[in-house]
Amino acid sequence: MKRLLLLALTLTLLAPASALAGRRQSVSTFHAEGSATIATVEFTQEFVAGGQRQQTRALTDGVVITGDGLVLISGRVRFPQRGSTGRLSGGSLPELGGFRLWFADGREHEAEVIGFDDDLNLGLLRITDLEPGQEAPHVDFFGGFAAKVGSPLRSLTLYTEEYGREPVYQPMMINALLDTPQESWSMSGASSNLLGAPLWDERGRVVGVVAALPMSPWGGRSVVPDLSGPLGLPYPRFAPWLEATIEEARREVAAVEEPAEEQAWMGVMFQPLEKAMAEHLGISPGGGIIITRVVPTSPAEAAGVQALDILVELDGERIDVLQVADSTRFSRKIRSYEPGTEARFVRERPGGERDEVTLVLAPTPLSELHAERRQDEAFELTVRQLTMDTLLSQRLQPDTPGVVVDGVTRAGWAGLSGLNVGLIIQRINEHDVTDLDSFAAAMAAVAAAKPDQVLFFVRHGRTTRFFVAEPDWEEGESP
Amino acid sequence: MRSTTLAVLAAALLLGAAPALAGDLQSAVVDVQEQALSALVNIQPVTESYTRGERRKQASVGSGFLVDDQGHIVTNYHVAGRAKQLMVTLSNKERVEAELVGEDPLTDLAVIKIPAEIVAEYGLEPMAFGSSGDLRVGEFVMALGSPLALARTMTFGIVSNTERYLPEGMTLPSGERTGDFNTWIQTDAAINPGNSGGPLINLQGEVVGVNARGAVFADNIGFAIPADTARRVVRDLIDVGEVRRSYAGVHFQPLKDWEALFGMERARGVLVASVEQGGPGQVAGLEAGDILLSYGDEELTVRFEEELPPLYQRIADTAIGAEVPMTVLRRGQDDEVELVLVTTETGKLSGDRFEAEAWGFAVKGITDQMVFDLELVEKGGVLVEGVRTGGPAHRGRLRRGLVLEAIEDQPVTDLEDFQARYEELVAAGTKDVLLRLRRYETLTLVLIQTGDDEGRNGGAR
Repeated sequence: MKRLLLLALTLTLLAPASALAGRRQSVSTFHAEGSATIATVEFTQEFVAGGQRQQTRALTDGVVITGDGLVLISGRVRFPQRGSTGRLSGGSLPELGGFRLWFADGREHEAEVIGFDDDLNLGLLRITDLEPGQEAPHVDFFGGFAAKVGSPLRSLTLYTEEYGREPVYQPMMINALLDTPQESWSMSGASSNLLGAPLWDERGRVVGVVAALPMSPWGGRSVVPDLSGPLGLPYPRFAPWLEATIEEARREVAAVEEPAEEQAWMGVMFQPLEKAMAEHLGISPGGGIIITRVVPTSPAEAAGVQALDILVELDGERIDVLQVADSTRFSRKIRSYEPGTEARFVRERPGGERDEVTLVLAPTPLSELHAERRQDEAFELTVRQLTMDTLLSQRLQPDTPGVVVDGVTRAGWAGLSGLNVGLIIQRINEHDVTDLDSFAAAMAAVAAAKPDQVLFFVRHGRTTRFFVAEPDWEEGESP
Repeated sequence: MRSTTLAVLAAALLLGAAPALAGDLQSAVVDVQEQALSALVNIQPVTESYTRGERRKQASVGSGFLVDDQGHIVTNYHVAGRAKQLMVTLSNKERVEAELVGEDPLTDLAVIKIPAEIVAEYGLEPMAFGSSGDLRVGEFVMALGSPLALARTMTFGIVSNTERYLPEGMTLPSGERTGDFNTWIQTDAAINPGNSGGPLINLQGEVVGVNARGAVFADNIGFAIPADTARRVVRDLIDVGEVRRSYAGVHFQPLKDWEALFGMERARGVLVASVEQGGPGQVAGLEAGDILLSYGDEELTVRFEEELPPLYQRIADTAIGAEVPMTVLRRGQDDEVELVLVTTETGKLSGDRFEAEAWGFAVKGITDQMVFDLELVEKGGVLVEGVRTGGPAHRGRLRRGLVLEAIEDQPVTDLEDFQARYEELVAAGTKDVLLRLRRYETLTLVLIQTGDDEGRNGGAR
């Protein structure tokens, strides 16, 4: 957490001013900014060989394309990797799993498959463990690139862990515009290790991806016999698939994370009671939830539920949560209750002893997403109210005072002081800030007094720090 | 800028001064290298790394230099620290095995040793530390080492800045925090990977810094640990094998020109930015927002961030456990507040590691400092450092960063305890093992299943 705060500071200090639109982006700026978006993707392939199930591990490149963590990869990952000893039985593809992503800056994430497209040879993953409200650094695609023979392109890949995952700059050039397959670009300087990597133009815009080898990956003949490098796929060629797939993925997420209002809440985190776990613990079979955390001040806490309690029945029915995928079904069921109603659980202890525990469900507390926001125009600073999810993710007590920085203009008064998104403001000059109203009152007092310096006392997790803004009050008054 | 330089050069040429100056410099550089290269070594460590839950051996290359006739060689912690094997190539190209004497991640320094007889036999001449405090911007310096494994390389430049501040919170590749106690000598003498641990020397042949890092995406921006810092650390490592430091658990910010905001007429003291929960500073009663005016008998004024490392060094130098009186200016109180700090020992930043191979993950012992750095709830258990993809722990959805608290309901006290329990269970052929893990307030159960293929895949699919 401490490092997060410092990282935020370092980025503010060291990140270069954004390149003017239309200007050529320097290689070093490209290297620094682009490298936050690309990841080494590790995954497992399982298949049956000689009657035995075998598992191999493989690596590919991926690029984060949305803030909520969707990741574009090459469709090649579905096919057996070079060096794997197994043979496919009955022409079936290996089973994919265990997707993990590593970034140059040390971030590590888990991911799951959203979908693949055979023709485009592309796939989409979703990062499954972003913190609530966390936005992943990502690229934005640009569809208006006019490709010509000789157009320079750039890409990035990461060195292996042994070399510290250093991002590697890969310059390329379009050496032919191909009609088939799919109006792709033949490129010089491109290595086949780059499959799935984004292609930037010289202005720092992502205009396509490294998609297919000239030799189609599922067999067939090479279409460009004398070249061995991969082809570039222009963004407009895969945009329709990408947009549709993203929309579908978001619909699924939205169905799971409905807005908070008037939905019931019990205030626990849990893991599924898997079959093997139940057997091992001596719990009756059929599923259930293992409580992993009880939220302070929640209905569950009031009813005396504790972490590691195992709940097996809800209102007379077995809780049939046996694997991670079943979890949303249970969450949905709880949310469908009317707030204020009772939920009767049966708790089972290892060995089979049971008791009843009854919760009075509360309305779901507001999340970051739906929190109320307040903007201060002079300081170019937006804050939001402190919600339960922020408190939990920063491991703070429920009565922690303050407001959360939600947006800040880099060159504005607040931005220049170093204030950054995610920090909790607890005091402004001599004014304590407990909520949005006291924030607004403090900012009004500051605006009335027009001091040369404004002191912000902020917190992130257990770490605190001071920032000082130096407003130019005259600036606002000039015509 | 460039035109000014050219004008000066042109003027110098016209006056006929340049050739003479160049001649002196040339001979000075050549003279120095003859002596300095004798002490220079190329180090080929084999270190142990734990990646994704697997223990691996890793070979690399770094630099170092002989500092006495006993065979002590100074290098970086990130070169030789945690080395399992150390081979050293001397300036005469002979290869010798070396042993690790001591390491200090907080300053990124380590001392290794070759036999004294070797030093005598080959007539190697140790180098002496000069003073980095007297160093001036613009002084000529040379970096010696093995950039990109090219042994016995010398590069030349000037001191670009004598007190470069690099922000708190830097970490080494092995994960330890570093650089809290020194500013850095910045130089434009080329420093590349492999230069690490080599000396930065002046024209008198004295070591003024230990080359340690370069800036990424930049040219001719290298950083060396100042000799004044290195000399003390090296002495401790040679004498007692470790550097012992006091710990206060307090983070500071420079006061800059913010005195009015803290109710002062002129800037004095240092701003307390953050106080570690349960640390000595909090126990003493320090609060964020306090202005610390004096520490022991020393009055403090820290207006610029370059002044922070000496302050942290001053606290680290305090006798461990001694009572230190402090004077504090506190918001809302007219009188200065008197507090007494009792420091604890910083101790090891990071615990030892162990790979539970059969279970598919690696763990690390938890030290006092890790409790502060990772904001852990308590010291018990071991930290899951990595999980092997596709292994039993990964299938059970174990994640790195969790603290393993208990195996089958029996608390795990420390790394030794974990290792003993693991070995016992593996030797007994236990197929299913239940682990209890914690991440802050969240508890998780993970079932490790090491049964045969059929078992672990849950039968037919």
